[in-house]
Amino acid sequence: MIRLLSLGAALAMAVPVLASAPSAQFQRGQAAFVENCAACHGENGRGGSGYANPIWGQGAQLAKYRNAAALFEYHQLMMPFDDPTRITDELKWDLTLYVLVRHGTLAEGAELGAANAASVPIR
Amino acid sequence: MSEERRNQTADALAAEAIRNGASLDRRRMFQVAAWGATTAMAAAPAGVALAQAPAAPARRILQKDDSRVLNIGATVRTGRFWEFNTWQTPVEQFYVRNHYPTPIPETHPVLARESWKLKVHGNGVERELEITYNDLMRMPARSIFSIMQCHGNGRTLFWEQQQMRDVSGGNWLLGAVGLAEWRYVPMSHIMGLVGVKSSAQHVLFWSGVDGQGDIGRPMPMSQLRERGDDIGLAFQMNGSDLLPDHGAPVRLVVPGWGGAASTKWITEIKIADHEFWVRLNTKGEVYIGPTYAAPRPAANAEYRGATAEDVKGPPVEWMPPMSTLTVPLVLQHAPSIPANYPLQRGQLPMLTAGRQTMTGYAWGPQHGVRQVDYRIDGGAWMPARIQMPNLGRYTWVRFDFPWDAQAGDHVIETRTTDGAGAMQPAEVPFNLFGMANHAIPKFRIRVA
Repeated sequence: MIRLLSLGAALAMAVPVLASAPSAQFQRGQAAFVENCAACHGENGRGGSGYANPIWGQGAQLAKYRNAAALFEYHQLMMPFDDPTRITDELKWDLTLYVLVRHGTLAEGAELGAANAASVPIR
Repeated sequence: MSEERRNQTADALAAEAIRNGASLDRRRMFQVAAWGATTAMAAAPAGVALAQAPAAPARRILQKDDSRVLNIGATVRTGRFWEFNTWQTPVEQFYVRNHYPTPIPETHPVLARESWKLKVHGNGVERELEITYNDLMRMPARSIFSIMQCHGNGRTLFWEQQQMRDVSGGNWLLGAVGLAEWRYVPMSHIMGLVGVKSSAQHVLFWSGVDGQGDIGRPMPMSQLRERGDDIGLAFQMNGSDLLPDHGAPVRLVVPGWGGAASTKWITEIKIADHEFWVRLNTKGEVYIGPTYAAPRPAANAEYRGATAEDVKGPPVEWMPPMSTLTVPLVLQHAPSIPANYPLQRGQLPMLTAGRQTMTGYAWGPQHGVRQVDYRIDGGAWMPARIQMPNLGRYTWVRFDFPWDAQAGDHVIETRTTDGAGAMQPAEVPFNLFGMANHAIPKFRIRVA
Protein backbone atom coordinates (compact mmCIF):
# COMPACT_ATOMS: atom_id res chain seq x y z
CA MET A 1 0.00 0.00 0.00
CA ILE A 2 2.80 2.42 0.88
CA ARG A 3 4.59 1.77 -2.40
CA LEU A 4 1.36 2.16 -4.23
CA LEU A 5 0.70 5.53 -2.66
CA SER A 6 4.14 6.87 -3.50
CA LEU A 7 3.58 5.68 -7.04
CA GLY A 8 0.33 7.64 -7.00
CA ALA A 9 2.12 10.74 -5.82
CA ALA A 10 4.66 10.42 -8.63
CA LEU A 11 1.87 9.98 -11.14
CA ALA A 12 0.26 13.22 -10.12
CA MET A 13 3.28 15.02 -11.57
CA ALA A 14 3.77 12.82 -14.60
CA VAL A 15 1.68 12.76 -17.76
CA PRO A 16 -0.27 9.56 -17.11
CA VAL A 17 -1.62 8.41 -20.46
CA LEU A 18 -0.40 8.54 -24.06
CA ALA A 19 3.11 7.22 -23.43
CA SER A 20 4.06 4.83 -26.21
CA ALA A 21 6.36 2.07 -24.92
CA PRO A 22 4.62 -0.55 -22.74
CA SER A 23 5.02 0.46 -19.12
CA ALA A 24 6.53 -1.91 -16.59
CA GLN A 25 3.11 -1.91 -14.95
CA PHE A 26 1.47 -3.05 -18.18
CA GLN A 27 4.00 -5.86 -18.50
CA ARG A 28 3.39 -6.95 -14.93
CA GLY A 29 -0.34 -6.86 -15.58
CA GLN A 30 0.01 -8.92 -18.73
CA ALA A 31 2.02 -11.60 -16.95
CA ALA A 32 -0.40 -11.63 -14.02
CA PHE A 33 -3.37 -11.94 -16.36
CA VAL A 34 -1.93 -15.01 -18.03
CA GLU A 35 -1.15 -16.56 -14.69
CA ASN A 36 -4.29 -15.69 -12.72
CA CYS A 37 -7.13 -14.80 -15.10
CA ALA A 38 -6.73 -16.52 -18.44
CA ALA A 39 -7.91 -19.88 -17.14
CA CYS A 40 -11.42 -18.50 -16.77
CA HIS A 41 -11.46 -15.58 -19.21
CA GLY A 42 -9.18 -16.82 -22.02
CA GLU A 43 -5.84 -15.23 -22.89
CA ASN A 44 -7.65 -12.97 -25.34
CA GLY A 45 -10.31 -12.01 -22.79
CA ARG A 46 -13.08 -13.38 -25.00
CA GLY A 47 -14.18 -16.07 -22.57
CA GLY A 48 -13.04 -19.37 -21.10
CA SER A 49 -14.05 -22.20 -18.85
CA GLY A 50 -15.02 -19.97 -15.94
CA TYR A 51 -16.84 -17.14 -17.68
CA ALA A 52 -18.07 -17.21 -21.25
CA ASN A 53 -18.60 -13.50 -21.87
CA PRO A 54 -15.85 -11.16 -23.17
CA ILE A 55 -14.30 -8.98 -20.49
CA TRP A 56 -12.89 -6.29 -22.77
CA GLY A 57 -13.58 -4.88 -26.21
CA GLN A 58 -16.70 -5.64 -28.22
CA GLY A 59 -19.52 -7.06 -26.12
CA ALA A 60 -17.82 -6.51 -22.76
CA GLN A 61 -19.65 -4.79 -19.92
CA LEU A 62 -16.84 -2.55 -18.77
CA ALA A 63 -18.61 0.76 -19.37
CA LYS A 64 -20.94 0.12 -16.46
CA TYR A 65 -18.04 0.72 -14.08
CA ARG A 66 -17.77 4.28 -15.43
CA ASN A 67 -14.19 4.74 -14.21
CA ALA A 68 -11.04 2.76 -13.43
CA ALA A 69 -11.43 3.15 -9.68
CA ALA A 70 -14.74 1.29 -9.72
CA LEU A 71 -13.27 -1.46 -11.88
CA PHE A 72 -10.33 -1.79 -9.48
CA GLU A 73 -12.77 -1.99 -6.58
CA TYR A 74 -14.59 -4.83 -8.32
CA HIS A 75 -11.32 -6.66 -8.85
CA GLN A 76 -10.32 -6.01 -5.27
CA LEU A 77 -13.48 -7.57 -3.87
CA MET A 78 -14.35 -10.21 -6.43
CA MET A 79 -11.33 -11.45 -8.34
CA PRO A 80 -9.80 -13.97 -8.67
CA PHE A 81 -13.18 -15.56 -8.21
CA ASP A 82 -11.96 -18.60 -6.26
CA ASP A 83 -10.15 -16.43 -3.72
CA PRO A 84 -10.02 -12.64 -4.05
CA THR A 85 -7.24 -12.47 -1.46
CA ARG A 86 -4.93 -14.66 -3.50
CA ILE A 87 -3.19 -11.73 -5.21
CA THR A 88 -2.17 -8.35 -3.85
CA ASP A 89 -3.88 -5.02 -4.41
CA GLU A 90 -0.74 -3.82 -6.13
CA LEU A 91 -1.01 -6.59 -8.69
CA LYS A 92 -4.71 -5.83 -9.08
CA TRP A 93 -3.82 -2.29 -10.13
CA ASP A 94 -1.48 -3.81 -12.73
CA LEU A 95 -4.28 -6.10 -13.91
CA THR A 96 -6.81 -3.29 -14.03
CA LEU A 97 -4.40 -1.31 -16.18
CA TYR A 98 -3.86 -4.32 -18.45
CA VAL A 99 -7.60 -4.85 -18.93
CA LEU A 100 -8.16 -1.17 -19.71
CA VAL A 101 -5.32 -1.13 -22.24
CA ARG A 102 -6.84 -4.14 -23.98
CA HIS A 103 -10.22 -2.42 -23.88
CA GLY A 104 -8.73 0.64 -25.58
CA THR A 105 -9.21 2.96 -22.62
CA LEU A 106 -5.52 3.46 -21.84
CA ALA A 107 -2.29 3.33 -23.81
CA GLU A 108 0.28 0.61 -23.13
CA GLY A 109 2.63 3.18 -21.67
CA ALA A 110 0.11 4.40 -19.12
CA GLU A 111 0.27 3.88 -15.38
CA LEU A 112 -2.71 3.41 -13.12
CA GLY A 113 -3.09 3.79 -9.38
CA ALA A 114 -5.30 5.17 -6.64
CA ALA A 115 -4.26 8.72 -7.47
CA ASN A 116 -5.57 8.81 -11.03
CA ALA A 117 -8.05 5.93 -11.34
CA ALA A 118 -11.18 7.92 -10.54
CA SER A 119 -10.36 10.32 -13.39
CA VAL A 120 -9.97 7.56 -16.00
CA PRO A 121 -13.43 7.16 -17.56
CA ILE A 122 -14.39 3.80 -19.13
CA ARG A 123 -16.55 3.79 -22.23
CA MET B 1 -17.14 4.11 28.74
CA SER B 2 -18.68 7.48 29.63
CA GLU B 3 -22.42 7.84 30.02
CA GLU B 4 -22.58 10.06 26.95
CA ARG B 5 -20.69 7.49 24.92
CA ARG B 6 -22.96 4.74 26.27
CA ASN B 7 -25.99 6.73 25.21
CA GLN B 8 -24.56 7.27 21.76
CA THR B 9 -23.85 3.59 21.47
CA ALA B 10 -27.35 2.73 22.60
CA ASP B 11 -28.81 5.16 20.06
CA ALA B 12 -26.70 3.66 17.31
CA LEU B 13 -27.74 0.16 18.27
CA ALA B 14 -31.39 1.18 18.34
CA ALA B 15 -31.10 2.77 14.92
CA GLU B 16 -29.45 -0.32 13.56
CA ALA B 17 -32.08 -2.56 15.10
CA ILE B 18 -34.78 -0.47 13.41
CA ARG B 19 -33.00 -0.68 10.11
CA ASN B 20 -32.14 -4.34 10.19
CA GLY B 21 -34.65 -5.85 12.54
CA ALA B 22 -32.30 -8.62 13.55
CA SER B 23 -30.54 -9.02 16.84
CA LEU B 24 -27.32 -7.10 16.97
CA ASP B 25 -25.38 -9.96 18.46
CA ARG B 26 -26.31 -12.02 15.49
CA ARG B 27 -25.26 -9.32 13.07
CA ARG B 28 -21.95 -8.95 14.81
CA MET B 29 -21.32 -12.65 14.59
CA PHE B 30 -21.78 -12.46 10.83
CA GLN B 31 -19.50 -9.47 10.58
CA VAL B 32 -16.72 -11.13 12.51
CA ALA B 33 -17.02 -14.43 10.77
CA ALA B 34 -17.58 -13.29 7.24
CA TRP B 35 -14.55 -11.90 5.54
CA GLY B 36 -11.22 -12.16 7.30
CA ALA B 37 -8.96 -10.89 4.57
CA THR B 38 -8.28 -7.38 5.69
CA THR B 39 -4.55 -7.75 6.02
CA ALA B 40 -3.60 -5.45 3.16
CA MET B 41 -5.79 -2.70 4.54
CA ALA B 42 -4.75 -3.23 8.12
CA ALA B 43 -1.05 -3.05 7.26
CA ALA B 44 -1.30 0.55 6.09
CA PRO B 45 -1.30 3.38 8.64
CA ALA B 46 -4.97 4.15 9.07
CA GLY B 47 -4.71 7.89 8.51
CA VAL B 48 -2.76 7.52 5.30
CA ALA B 49 -5.09 4.89 3.96
CA LEU B 50 -8.13 7.06 4.63
CA ALA B 51 -6.59 10.12 3.05
CA GLN B 52 -5.17 8.47 -0.03
CA ALA B 53 -7.35 5.50 -0.89
CA PRO B 54 -11.02 6.43 -0.71
CA ALA B 55 -11.80 3.84 -3.37
CA ALA B 56 -10.78 0.93 -1.18
CA PRO B 57 -13.81 -0.38 0.78
CA ALA B 58 -13.74 -2.77 3.68
CA ARG B 59 -13.50 -6.26 2.29
CA ARG B 60 -16.80 -7.71 3.40
CA ILE B 61 -18.65 -9.04 0.44
CA LEU B 62 -21.16 -11.33 2.14
CA GLN B 63 -22.74 -10.98 5.56
CA LYS B 64 -23.33 -14.65 6.07
CA ASP B 65 -21.25 -16.91 8.27
CA ASP B 66 -19.30 -19.23 5.98
CA SER B 67 -19.30 -22.23 8.29
CA ARG B 68 -22.53 -23.84 7.09
CA VAL B 69 -22.29 -23.14 3.37
CA LEU B 70 -19.55 -23.97 0.88
CA ASN B 71 -17.53 -21.11 -0.58
CA ILE B 72 -17.25 -21.69 -4.31
CA GLY B 73 -16.30 -18.16 -5.36
CA ALA B 74 -16.32 -14.50 -4.45
CA THR B 75 -20.01 -13.89 -3.69
CA VAL B 76 -21.21 -17.41 -4.24
CA ARG B 77 -21.96 -20.04 -1.60
CA THR B 78 -23.50 -23.39 -2.33
CA GLY B 79 -25.43 -25.50 0.12
CA ARG B 80 -23.68 -28.47 1.75
CA PHE B 81 -26.31 -30.80 0.32
CA TRP B 82 -24.55 -33.91 1.60
CA GLU B 83 -25.39 -32.63 5.10
CA PHE B 84 -29.00 -31.61 4.43
CA ASN B 85 -31.51 -33.36 6.65
CA THR B 86 -34.35 -30.90 7.27
CA TRP B 87 -37.34 -30.34 5.00
CA GLN B 88 -37.11 -26.57 5.44
CA THR B 89 -33.62 -25.22 4.86
CA PRO B 90 -32.26 -23.06 7.69
CA VAL B 91 -31.23 -19.64 6.38
CA GLU B 92 -27.70 -20.31 7.60
CA GLN B 93 -27.50 -23.31 5.27
CA PHE B 94 -29.16 -21.57 2.32
CA TYR B 95 -27.09 -21.02 -0.81
CA VAL B 96 -26.24 -17.48 -1.92
CA ARG B 97 -25.73 -16.40 -5.48
CA ASN B 98 -25.00 -12.70 -5.72
CA HIS B 99 -23.32 -11.02 -8.67
CA TYR B 100 -21.74 -8.31 -6.54
CA PRO B 101 -20.90 -7.74 -2.90
CA THR B 102 -24.07 -7.72 -0.82
CA PRO B 103 -25.46 -4.18 -0.62
CA ILE B 104 -26.32 -3.14 2.94
CA PRO B 105 -27.90 0.01 4.43
CA GLU B 106 -24.50 1.23 5.61
CA THR B 107 -23.23 1.42 2.04
CA HIS B 108 -26.59 1.79 0.25
CA PRO B 109 -28.85 3.95 2.44
CA VAL B 110 -31.84 3.38 0.14
CA LEU B 111 -31.96 -0.15 1.55
CA ALA B 112 -32.66 1.04 5.10
CA ARG B 113 -36.28 0.29 5.86
CA GLU B 114 -37.07 3.90 6.64
CA SER B 115 -35.84 5.02 3.22
CA TRP B 116 -36.63 2.03 0.97
CA LYS B 117 -39.13 2.76 -1.80
CA LEU B 118 -40.55 0.75 -4.63
CA LYS B 119 -41.73 2.41 -7.82
CA VAL B 120 -44.29 0.65 -10.01
CA HIS B 121 -44.74 2.30 -13.38
CA GLY B 122 -44.79 1.87 -17.16
CA ASN B 123 -47.25 2.23 -19.98
CA GLY B 124 -48.99 -0.96 -18.88
CA VAL B 125 -50.46 0.55 -15.71
CA GLU B 126 -53.31 2.96 -15.15
CA ARG B 127 -51.68 4.62 -12.13
CA GLU B 128 -48.05 4.84 -11.12
CA LEU B 129 -47.35 3.81 -7.57
CA GLU B 130 -44.60 4.46 -5.07
CA ILE B 131 -44.67 2.52 -1.82
CA THR B 132 -42.54 2.57 1.30
CA TYR B 133 -41.66 -0.30 3.59
CA ASN B 134 -44.39 0.79 6.00
CA ASP B 135 -46.89 0.85 3.14
CA LEU B 136 -45.88 -2.69 2.29
CA MET B 137 -46.31 -3.81 5.91
CA ARG B 138 -49.91 -2.57 5.85
CA MET B 139 -50.79 -4.61 2.77
CA PRO B 140 -52.26 -8.12 2.86
CA ALA B 141 -49.47 -10.67 3.06
CA ARG B 142 -49.33 -14.42 2.74
CA SER B 143 -46.77 -17.20 3.07
CA ILE B 144 -45.66 -19.87 0.69
CA PHE B 145 -43.28 -22.79 1.04
CA SER B 146 -41.13 -22.90 -2.05
CA ILE B 147 -37.73 -23.98 -3.13
CA MET B 148 -35.34 -21.37 -4.47
CA GLN B 149 -32.73 -22.63 -6.86
CA CYS B 150 -29.93 -21.21 -8.96
CA HIS B 151 -30.13 -21.77 -12.73
CA GLY B 152 -26.59 -23.12 -12.52
CA ASN B 153 -27.38 -25.83 -9.98
CA GLY B 154 -26.15 -29.11 -11.44
CA ARG B 155 -23.67 -27.42 -13.80
CA THR B 156 -21.07 -29.81 -12.35
CA LEU B 157 -22.83 -32.67 -14.17
CA PHE B 158 -21.85 -31.18 -17.54
CA TRP B 159 -18.21 -31.60 -16.57
CA GLU B 160 -18.41 -34.83 -14.61
CA GLN B 161 -20.95 -36.84 -16.58
CA GLN B 162 -21.12 -35.33 -20.06
CA GLN B 163 -17.49 -34.34 -20.77
CA MET B 164 -18.62 -30.86 -21.84
CA ARG B 165 -15.57 -28.83 -20.84
CA ASP B 166 -16.70 -25.71 -22.71
CA VAL B 167 -19.52 -25.11 -20.26
CA SER B 168 -18.59 -22.10 -18.13
CA GLY B 169 -19.62 -20.95 -14.68
CA GLY B 170 -19.34 -21.74 -11.00
CA ASN B 171 -19.04 -25.24 -9.61
CA TRP B 172 -22.35 -25.50 -7.74
CA LEU B 173 -22.47 -29.28 -7.44
CA LEU B 174 -26.09 -29.92 -6.38
CA GLY B 175 -26.35 -27.53 -3.44
CA ALA B 176 -27.65 -24.34 -5.06
CA VAL B 177 -31.15 -25.10 -3.86
CA GLY B 178 -33.05 -24.76 -0.63
CA LEU B 179 -36.61 -24.63 0.65
CA ALA B 180 -37.87 -21.67 2.63
CA GLU B 181 -41.12 -20.23 3.86
CA TRP B 182 -41.45 -16.86 2.16
CA ARG B 183 -43.77 -14.16 3.49
CA TYR B 184 -44.76 -11.67 0.87
CA VAL B 185 -47.29 -9.24 -0.49
CA PRO B 186 -48.66 -10.94 -3.59
CA MET B 187 -48.23 -9.23 -6.94
CA SER B 188 -51.97 -9.69 -7.49
CA HIS B 189 -52.50 -7.02 -4.81
CA ILE B 190 -49.96 -4.65 -6.38
CA MET B 191 -51.54 -5.22 -9.79
CA GLY B 192 -54.91 -4.21 -8.38
CA LEU B 193 -53.45 -1.01 -6.96
CA VAL B 194 -51.85 0.14 -10.21
CA GLY B 195 -54.56 -1.15 -12.55
CA VAL B 196 -52.86 -3.34 -15.14
CA LYS B 197 -53.98 -2.53 -18.69
CA SER B 198 -54.95 -5.33 -21.03
CA SER B 199 -52.16 -4.10 -23.32
CA ALA B 200 -49.48 -4.99 -20.73
CA GLN B 201 -47.29 -7.78 -22.09
CA HIS B 202 -44.09 -7.79 -20.04
CA VAL B 203 -42.88 -6.80 -16.60
CA LEU B 204 -39.36 -5.87 -15.54
CA PHE B 205 -38.30 -6.37 -11.93
CA TRP B 206 -35.26 -4.21 -11.23
CA SER B 207 -32.92 -3.79 -8.29
CA GLY B 208 -31.22 -0.54 -9.24
CA VAL B 209 -29.11 -1.02 -6.11
CA ASP B 210 -27.24 -4.25 -6.75
CA GLY B 211 -23.66 -3.77 -7.96
CA GLN B 212 -23.28 -1.56 -10.98
CA GLY B 213 -27.01 -1.12 -11.53
CA ASP B 214 -27.36 -3.87 -14.11
CA ILE B 215 -29.29 -6.47 -12.13
CA GLY B 216 -32.94 -7.25 -12.68
CA ARG B 217 -35.05 -9.54 -14.79
CA PRO B 218 -38.15 -9.41 -16.96
CA MET B 219 -40.94 -11.94 -17.39
CA PRO B 220 -44.08 -12.17 -19.48
CA MET B 221 -47.17 -10.66 -17.85
CA SER B 222 -48.90 -14.00 -18.43
CA GLN B 223 -46.98 -15.31 -15.40
CA LEU B 224 -48.39 -12.58 -13.16
CA ARG B 225 -51.88 -13.02 -14.58
CA GLU B 226 -51.78 -16.79 -14.02
CA ARG B 227 -50.15 -16.85 -10.58
CA GLY B 228 -50.11 -13.34 -9.20
CA ASP B 229 -51.03 -14.79 -5.81
CA ASP B 230 -47.88 -16.94 -5.76
CA ILE B 231 -45.39 -14.33 -7.00
CA GLY B 232 -44.77 -11.48 -4.62
CA LEU B 233 -42.68 -8.96 -2.76
CA ALA B 234 -41.04 -10.96 0.01
CA PHE B 235 -39.81 -9.46 3.25
CA GLN B 236 -39.38 -12.56 5.41
CA MET B 237 -37.68 -15.91 4.99
CA ASN B 238 -38.40 -18.74 7.43
CA GLY B 239 -40.26 -16.34 9.70
CA SER B 240 -37.45 -13.84 10.13
CA ASP B 241 -36.80 -10.64 8.26
CA LEU B 242 -34.67 -11.13 5.19
CA LEU B 243 -30.92 -11.06 5.68
CA PRO B 244 -28.96 -8.65 3.50
CA ASP B 245 -27.48 -11.56 1.52
CA HIS B 246 -31.00 -12.67 0.63
CA GLY B 247 -32.25 -9.29 -0.52
CA ALA B 248 -33.19 -7.20 2.53
CA PRO B 249 -35.37 -5.36 3.00
CA VAL B 250 -37.55 -6.56 0.10
CA ARG B 251 -37.01 -8.95 -2.80
CA LEU B 252 -39.17 -10.58 -5.38
CA VAL B 253 -39.97 -14.28 -5.07
CA VAL B 254 -40.99 -16.19 -8.18
CA PRO B 255 -41.68 -19.75 -6.99
CA GLY B 256 -40.48 -22.45 -9.34
CA TRP B 257 -38.40 -20.30 -11.65
CA GLY B 258 -34.64 -20.05 -11.26
CA GLY B 259 -33.40 -17.68 -8.59
CA ALA B 260 -32.34 -15.00 -11.08
CA ALA B 261 -36.02 -14.18 -11.59
CA SER B 262 -36.43 -13.39 -7.90
CA THR B 263 -34.75 -9.98 -7.97
CA LYS B 264 -33.15 -9.06 -4.64
CA TRP B 265 -33.04 -5.52 -3.21
CA ILE B 266 -35.86 -4.59 -5.54
CA THR B 267 -36.74 -0.92 -6.05
CA GLU B 268 -38.55 -0.79 -9.40
CA ILE B 269 -41.25 -2.67 -11.29
CA LYS B 270 -41.99 -1.60 -14.85
CA ILE B 271 -45.04 -3.00 -16.61
CA ALA B 272 -45.19 -2.33 -20.33
CA ASP B 273 -46.62 -3.31 -23.68
CA HIS B 274 -43.11 -4.24 -24.90
CA GLU B 275 -40.42 -6.74 -24.00
CA PHE B 276 -37.25 -6.02 -22.03
CA TRP B 277 -33.70 -7.21 -22.63
CA VAL B 278 -31.18 -6.84 -19.82
CA ARG B 279 -27.99 -8.52 -18.64
CA LEU B 280 -29.80 -11.39 -16.93
CA ASN B 281 -31.76 -12.55 -19.95
CA THR B 282 -28.93 -12.12 -22.49
CA LYS B 283 -25.38 -12.39 -21.13
CA GLY B 284 -26.28 -14.92 -18.51
CA GLU B 285 -29.17 -17.08 -17.31
CA VAL B 286 -30.00 -18.15 -20.89
CA TYR B 287 -29.65 -21.34 -22.92
CA ILE B 288 -27.03 -20.82 -25.62
CA GLY B 289 -26.19 -23.87 -27.69
CA PRO B 290 -26.84 -25.65 -30.98
CA THR B 291 -30.21 -27.03 -29.88
CA TYR B 292 -31.55 -23.68 -28.68
CA ALA B 293 -32.96 -21.01 -31.00
CA ALA B 294 -32.24 -17.38 -30.15
CA PRO B 295 -35.36 -15.29 -29.54
CA ARG B 296 -35.95 -12.47 -32.02
CA PRO B 297 -36.36 -9.20 -30.14
CA ALA B 298 -39.34 -7.11 -31.19
CA ALA B 299 -38.72 -3.76 -32.82
CA ASN B 300 -40.14 -1.87 -29.84
CA ALA B 301 -38.16 -3.80 -27.22
CA GLU B 302 -36.55 -1.87 -24.37
CA TYR B 303 -32.88 -2.50 -23.57
CA ARG B 304 -31.00 -1.88 -20.34
CA GLY B 305 -27.29 -2.74 -20.41
CA ALA B 306 -27.75 -5.07 -23.38
CA THR B 307 -28.30 -4.79 -27.11
CA ALA B 308 -30.16 -6.83 -29.72
CA GLU B 309 -26.83 -8.50 -30.62
CA ASP B 310 -26.62 -9.89 -27.09
CA VAL B 311 -29.81 -11.91 -27.51
CA LYS B 312 -28.40 -15.36 -28.25
CA GLY B 313 -30.63 -17.85 -26.49
CA PRO B 314 -33.90 -18.27 -24.63
CA PRO B 315 -33.99 -17.33 -20.94
CA VAL B 316 -34.27 -20.12 -18.38
CA GLU B 317 -37.69 -20.02 -16.74
CA TRP B 318 -39.18 -23.04 -14.93
CA MET B 319 -36.63 -25.27 -13.25
CA PRO B 320 -36.91 -28.89 -14.41
CA PRO B 321 -37.27 -32.01 -12.23
CA MET B 322 -34.10 -32.80 -10.29
CA SER B 323 -32.87 -34.93 -7.42
CA THR B 324 -29.87 -35.47 -5.21
CA LEU B 325 -28.65 -37.93 -2.63
CA THR B 326 -27.16 -36.52 0.53
CA VAL B 327 -23.80 -37.78 -0.68
CA PRO B 328 -21.05 -35.51 -2.02
CA LEU B 329 -20.45 -35.80 -5.77
CA VAL B 330 -17.08 -37.07 -6.90
CA LEU B 331 -15.17 -34.27 -8.63
CA GLN B 332 -12.79 -35.58 -11.23
CA HIS B 333 -13.14 -33.34 -14.30
CA ALA B 334 -14.54 -30.10 -12.87
CA PRO B 335 -12.30 -27.08 -13.47
CA SER B 336 -12.18 -26.28 -9.76
CA ILE B 337 -12.55 -27.99 -6.41
CA PRO B 338 -13.99 -25.76 -3.67
CA ALA B 339 -11.42 -25.25 -0.93
CA ASN B 340 -13.47 -26.83 1.86
CA TYR B 341 -15.08 -29.61 -0.15
CA PRO B 342 -14.95 -32.87 1.81
CA LEU B 343 -13.46 -34.81 -1.12
CA GLN B 344 -10.17 -34.31 -2.94
CA ARG B 345 -10.11 -34.47 -6.71
CA GLY B 346 -11.09 -37.98 -7.78
CA GLN B 347 -11.75 -39.14 -4.22
CA LEU B 348 -14.87 -41.23 -3.52
CA PRO B 349 -17.03 -40.80 -0.42
CA MET B 350 -16.74 -43.77 1.94
CA LEU B 351 -19.55 -45.77 3.45
CA THR B 352 -19.53 -48.67 5.90
CA ALA B 353 -20.67 -52.04 4.58
CA GLY B 354 -24.05 -53.34 5.75
CA ARG B 355 -27.62 -52.12 5.81
CA GLN B 356 -27.73 -48.38 5.10
CA THR B 357 -30.60 -45.95 4.69
CA MET B 358 -29.83 -43.66 1.77
CA THR B 359 -31.60 -40.30 1.81
CA GLY B 360 -32.12 -37.57 -0.73
CA TYR B 361 -34.18 -34.67 -2.03
CA ALA B 362 -36.31 -34.40 -5.16
CA TRP B 363 -38.05 -31.44 -6.72
CA GLY B 364 -39.85 -30.41 -9.89
CA PRO B 365 -41.53 -27.10 -9.15
CA GLN B 366 -43.58 -26.70 -12.31
CA HIS B 367 -45.75 -29.71 -11.56
CA GLY B 368 -44.58 -31.11 -8.24
CA VAL B 369 -42.97 -34.48 -7.48
CA ARG B 370 -44.94 -37.61 -8.34
CA GLN B 371 -42.30 -40.30 -7.95
CA VAL B 372 -38.63 -40.82 -7.17
CA ASP B 373 -36.72 -43.87 -8.38
CA TYR B 374 -33.21 -45.08 -7.79
CA ARG B 375 -30.98 -47.76 -9.17
CA ILE B 376 -27.70 -49.24 -8.04
CA ASP B 377 -24.85 -50.18 -10.36
CA GLY B 378 -27.06 -49.92 -13.44
CA GLY B 379 -29.66 -52.39 -12.12
CA ALA B 380 -33.43 -52.09 -12.25
CA TRP B 381 -35.09 -48.82 -11.25
CA MET B 382 -36.80 -49.10 -7.87
CA PRO B 383 -39.19 -46.63 -6.25
CA ALA B 384 -37.82 -44.69 -3.29
CA ARG B 385 -40.03 -43.93 -0.30
CA ILE B 386 -41.24 -40.33 -0.38
CA GLN B 387 -41.37 -38.82 3.09
CA MET B 388 -44.19 -36.49 3.99
CA PRO B 389 -44.78 -33.60 3.75
CA ASN B 390 -45.24 -33.13 0.02
CA LEU B 391 -46.98 -29.76 -0.01
CA GLY B 392 -47.60 -29.04 -3.63
CA ARG B 393 -45.60 -28.28 -6.67
CA TYR B 394 -43.23 -25.63 -5.34
CA THR B 395 -41.81 -27.72 -2.52
CA TRP B 396 -39.33 -30.55 -2.63
CA VAL B 397 -39.68 -33.92 -0.98
CA ARG B 398 -37.24 -35.96 1.01
CA PHE B 399 -36.92 -39.59 0.00
CA ASP B 400 -35.10 -42.65 1.27
CA PHE B 401 -34.41 -46.26 0.45
CA PRO B 402 -32.56 -49.11 2.12
CA TRP B 403 -29.30 -50.40 0.70
CA ASP B 404 -27.35 -53.47 1.69
CA ALA B 405 -23.98 -52.00 0.89
CA GLN B 406 -21.35 -54.53 -0.10
CA ALA B 407 -17.64 -53.78 -0.15
CA GLY B 408 -16.45 -52.23 -3.39
CA ASP B 409 -17.15 -49.20 -5.57
CA HIS B 410 -20.75 -48.49 -6.52
CA VAL B 411 -22.83 -46.02 -8.50
CA ILE B 412 -26.27 -44.91 -7.29
CA GLU B 413 -28.54 -42.93 -9.59
CA THR B 414 -31.70 -41.03 -8.62
CA ARG B 415 -34.53 -39.94 -10.89
CA THR B 416 -37.48 -37.63 -10.28
CA THR B 417 -40.75 -37.88 -12.19
CA ASP B 418 -42.91 -34.78 -11.90
CA GLY B 419 -46.67 -34.40 -11.78
CA ALA B 420 -46.90 -34.03 -15.56
CA GLY B 421 -44.86 -37.19 -16.15
CA ALA B 422 -41.62 -35.43 -17.06
CA MET B 423 -38.64 -37.50 -15.97
CA GLN B 424 -35.00 -36.62 -15.45
CA PRO B 425 -33.09 -37.59 -18.62
CA ALA B 426 -29.76 -39.42 -18.86
CA GLU B 427 -28.16 -36.34 -20.46
CA VAL B 428 -29.14 -32.80 -21.35
CA PRO B 429 -28.02 -30.85 -24.44
CA PHE B 430 -25.00 -28.55 -24.26
CA ASN B 431 -25.54 -24.96 -23.26
CA LEU B 432 -22.67 -22.53 -22.85
CA PHE B 433 -23.51 -21.19 -19.40
CA GLY B 434 -24.32 -24.61 -17.98
CA MET B 435 -27.93 -23.82 -17.12
CA ALA B 436 -30.32 -26.26 -15.49
CA ASN B 437 -28.50 -29.56 -15.88
CA HIS B 438 -31.16 -31.92 -14.62
CA ALA B 439 -29.63 -35.13 -15.90
CA ILE B 440 -29.89 -38.19 -13.65
CA PRO B 441 -27.00 -37.70 -11.21
CA LYS B 442 -24.57 -40.54 -10.64
CA PHE B 443 -23.26 -40.82 -7.09
CA ARG B 444 -20.09 -42.87 -6.81
CA ILE B 445 -19.57 -44.43 -3.39
CA ARG B 446 -16.82 -46.63 -1.97
CA VAL B 447 -17.99 -49.21 0.57
CA ALA B 448 -15.42 -50.68 2.94
